[in-house]
Amino acid sequence: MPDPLHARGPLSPSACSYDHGGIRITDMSGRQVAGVALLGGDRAALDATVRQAWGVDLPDTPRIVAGSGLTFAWAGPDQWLALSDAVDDSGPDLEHVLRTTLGPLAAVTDQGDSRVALRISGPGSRDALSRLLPIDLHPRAFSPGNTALTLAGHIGVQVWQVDSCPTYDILVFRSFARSLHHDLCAAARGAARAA
Amino acid sequence: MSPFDAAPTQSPTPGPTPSGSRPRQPTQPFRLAEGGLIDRDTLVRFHFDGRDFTGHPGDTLASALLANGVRLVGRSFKYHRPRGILSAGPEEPNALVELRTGPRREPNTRATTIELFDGLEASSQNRFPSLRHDLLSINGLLSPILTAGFYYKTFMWPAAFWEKLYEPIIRRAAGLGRAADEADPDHYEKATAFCDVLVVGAGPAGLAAALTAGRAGARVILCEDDAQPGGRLLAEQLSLDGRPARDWVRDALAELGAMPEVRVMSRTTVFGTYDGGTYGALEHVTDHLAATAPHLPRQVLWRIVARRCVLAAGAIERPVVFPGNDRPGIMLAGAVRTYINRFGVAPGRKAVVFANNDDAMRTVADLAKAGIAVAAVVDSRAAPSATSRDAARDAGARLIAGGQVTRAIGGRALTAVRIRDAAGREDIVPCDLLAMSGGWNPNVHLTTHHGGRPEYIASLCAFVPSVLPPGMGVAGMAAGVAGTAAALADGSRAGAEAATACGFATSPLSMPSVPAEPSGIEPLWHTLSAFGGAAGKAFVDFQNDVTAKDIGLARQEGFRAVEHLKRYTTLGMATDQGKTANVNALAIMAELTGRTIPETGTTLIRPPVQPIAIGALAGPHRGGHFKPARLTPTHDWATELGATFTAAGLWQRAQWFARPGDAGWQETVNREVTAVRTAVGICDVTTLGKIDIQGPDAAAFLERVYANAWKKLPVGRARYGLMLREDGFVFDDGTTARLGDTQYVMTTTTANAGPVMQHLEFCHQWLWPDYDVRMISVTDQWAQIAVAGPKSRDVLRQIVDTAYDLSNDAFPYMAAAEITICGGQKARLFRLSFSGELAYEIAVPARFGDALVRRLMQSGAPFGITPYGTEALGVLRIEKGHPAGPELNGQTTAHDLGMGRLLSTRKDFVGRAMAQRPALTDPARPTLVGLRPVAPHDVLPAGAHLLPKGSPATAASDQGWVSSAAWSPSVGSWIGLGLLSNGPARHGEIVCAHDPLGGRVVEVEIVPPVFVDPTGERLHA
Repeated sequence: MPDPLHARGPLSPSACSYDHGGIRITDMSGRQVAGVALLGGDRAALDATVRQAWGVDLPDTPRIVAGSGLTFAWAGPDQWLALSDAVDDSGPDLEHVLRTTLGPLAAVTDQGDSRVALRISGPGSRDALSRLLPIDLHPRAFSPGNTALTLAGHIGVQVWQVDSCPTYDILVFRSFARSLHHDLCAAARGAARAA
Repeated sequence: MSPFDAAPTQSPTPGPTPSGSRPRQPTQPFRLAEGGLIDRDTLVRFHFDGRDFTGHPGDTLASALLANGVRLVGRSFKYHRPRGILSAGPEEPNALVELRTGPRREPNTRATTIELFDGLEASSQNRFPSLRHDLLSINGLLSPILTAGFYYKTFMWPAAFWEKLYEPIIRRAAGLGRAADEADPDHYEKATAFCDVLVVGAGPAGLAAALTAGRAGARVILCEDDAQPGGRLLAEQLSLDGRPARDWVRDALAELGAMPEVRVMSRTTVFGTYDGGTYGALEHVTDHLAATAPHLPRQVLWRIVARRCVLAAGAIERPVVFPGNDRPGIMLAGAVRTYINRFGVAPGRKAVVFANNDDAMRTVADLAKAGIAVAAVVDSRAAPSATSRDAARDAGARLIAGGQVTRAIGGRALTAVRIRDAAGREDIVPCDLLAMSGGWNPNVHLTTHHGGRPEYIASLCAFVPSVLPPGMGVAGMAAGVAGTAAALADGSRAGAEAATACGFATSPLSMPSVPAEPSGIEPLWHTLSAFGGAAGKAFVDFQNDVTAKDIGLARQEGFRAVEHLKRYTTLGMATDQGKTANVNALAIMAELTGRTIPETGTTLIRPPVQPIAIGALAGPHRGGHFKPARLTPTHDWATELGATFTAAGLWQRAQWFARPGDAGWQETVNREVTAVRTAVGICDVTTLGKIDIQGPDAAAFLERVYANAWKKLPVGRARYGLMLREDGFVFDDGTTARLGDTQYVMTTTTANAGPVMQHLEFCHQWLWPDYDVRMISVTDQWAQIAVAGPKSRDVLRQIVDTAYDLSNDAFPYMAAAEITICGGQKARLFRLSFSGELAYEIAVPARFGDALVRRLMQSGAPFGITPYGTEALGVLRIEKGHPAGPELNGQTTAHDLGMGRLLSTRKDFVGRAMAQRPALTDPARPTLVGLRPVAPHDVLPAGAHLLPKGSPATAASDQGWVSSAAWSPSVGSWIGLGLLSNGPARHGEIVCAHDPLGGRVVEVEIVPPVFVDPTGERLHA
């Protein structure tokens, strides 16, 4: 029996942490993520199944909702990303759990290696993101639980606000993670300067 | 006094106010004893044209030069005329300098906007050899041929002379500053800001608007071009509620600064109005500092998204057109006040004020108060106002009512003006300063970027905004509302309107009491009796050296429409965009053509309002970060091996893995190819697009989007798929595997991963919305590695868990399965081959990709496993005759690629009907062939044209082209793929490959396009 394979994050080990000027950037890759898309058109049945299993209503607007053990992020009409609570890949296989629970009501696709999250947190993070995202993150416009599919510079991302610290998670295709991390750190340095 | 006997203006002659009891040599002789928003306790040293000067914090380069008596600061664009300082703001057309040196050298920088810093270095432009002795000022004598349109007329013949002779000479003689030769060492940022109300300009109207909207609770951004907010409140002798205006500004800024939702951005130029309430703005972060700290950007390009905008950008004063009106010492009347009141500088010692309006009479009073003699007040109005009379009387100056300045006298500096009174008597009045005003032009620029044309108001002698971009309001002098009290009220109104529209309850600002400010005006554009230029050059556009005579010439030659006038004379086309020129020009054209000013019209004004450096537009996207890079899961491993990378779109892929001892890349690639053909090689193929397709109608959907048949593909098998565009040409290809009853995974080419995803979504959402199918990209989800070569099964056997049988019977060519490896790790295995060898692609979740490639290297070592890059991948597929990007170029059909038989006749699919067009099924179309030089070592150039042997090398003989070529170590020859008319019928024929770029002709034999293992034995081994 050969040795098991070991996972490796998308960032280079030397670039993994940034913590300056009240802004902290962390690598949140490793969390289990799965795409969920309505199949068969029976939305009511899907809603009922999700509500029974995880105690939440699937959002129809760009929001994330936390259920028991799972968070659902709106990702388009009748499409969501399901995220495990654990920030690593511990716990049961998310794709398998969702397929078993939802059956033919939804297409389920593992995205835990496709989309990785970078987290930016701290009082200056809103300023930092204003250097990268073209969307309004002012508390009057965007608050914890809101999500948006947008661009970070030239990179397509999905961002949501975690708390009012503020903390944001930015979900990006894995192959872009180093470029996004570089851009986030540059934006954070710019915001630290402005503050 | 002779007009050319100018007094040396740069000598340290004591100014009107002796600089006190300091024992050192007099510095800043024109600095007034008191006044100004400068820090007199601190000296700032600077260099201009190699000479050392001093100034104070708060100065601009222009005010500091004036304080030192330097009035000649540049030479003009075409005639090399001596030029001084016209204005005190960003509209400056004359005082353009090169700022800084070396890689930070910045040409055409306006001395009036450069904040003085210690160690500043600037030099004058367009002078040779020196500013005072400019040999090229002889251009002025050549002016009969240098008028408008002279390039077009003079340098027509012979055409060949243009590039080598005329253009270099003209570029030497005409022009302004020089761009830096080295790369810009500074960095720039981009940022986005959102607000309810954007206020552009922090003069009285802008401050009132921001206060009103801010107090209501709106999110407000107040942008001010200048370092110090306040606008004209900083430049005038004015009291608000009995206190100096600057105190009111200070209080307003303090209040705004305390509002959490208000952001005041000084040194920030709003330069463009774009769609959807978006504005472009440039923040100068460190331009005012001696050195850019490494962590600070030089500038930030802001994209400001505002629900409402209040434009309070003020106005720019108009010069008057008369002969010699460009002489150093001739200045706008409002600028004279700015230099006196804001900078504590005397712009001259003996002044004449020439104007058509009451506002300019403030200059008379301010000059007198500063102790500067006013020799004459020339009011062009036949019946001068009480304001004029009072101002002249109080200043002890002679008032010439209904008078005009008809000529300026002087060379490198103004020495006198010729004045004509209402009765036509002429007199010469010695002076070194002429303060002129033809009225004020509201800054309408940002209102016109959506195509709106400003409207002429005769009573104001000015254009004001008419049709406004959605969400924009205009306040204060930008709207033609003159006077501080009116501007404050108008600003408050506009701020309230904007905030109310955003849902905030507002209350009006309590207005400070302001003394009356007369603003009467009567039109005056020029003092010329004729436009022939006999009396000397009368400049309309100072920066581009366009004279009144040029406008006359434009009219004479039929360029009467303003847009033609602009292009014929280059009026308004300099970096100042004609801010001090355009209205005078069209007023003169109106007069020449007997039309009114509204009938004559205005040119369209486009963004940016001020020049923007390209570096700021690029922002952080430069060098290696010009585009994001997509990295494969094995990138670090490949880097460790010293791989050479190549860009495939945004992806970085290993091109080859050179080993110590390899003589060159060709040897490396040969080695990698040979390893695949004889042992086993591995290559990261993660970059191929991967799309997960699920749903009961997935198979039916594939039938529609692919040209070949899919319904019978069993679970656990993959199939090659050919995708057409709607127009019948080939779009993309790849393999798609059936993983379950209702689940497939499609692969695309690397280049088309995104476009195919879009195409599938389009097909689903618009063409067949009833299909119950879902798609999601899994390109980044799976690290996929090709394991190719006769030993590939042996290597995989080392890592695939023993429960899975890899024998040829159990897992044949085109098999696909979800498996586990390395003791339970989930993976996918496909038996696919791009090389023609026994080969697999193995996929694991991307986080395990790095571990997988290292494990494969380890387990494969006994079998001679060799990593190979995209170059070897290309050679292998050419040897096997597989079409790729150069063949799938968007112009080829399935028939062209030898795959016509794949097109199903039993179903409908995207592109089916159009693929049957006669032109697309013509057998004479260039069709895929193999190519082999008659002499194996003759280099076969990709891109060469294929012509019949012996035919002339003309386009008429052209029968096709070489699409891909490579040295094949397996064949021992150069080989290629090409598209040749009637190709398949011509195997064995010798044709010529013409490479006109390389100047080579190679004889090649037409062969079948499969060079290695044509029967496919290895594939199925």
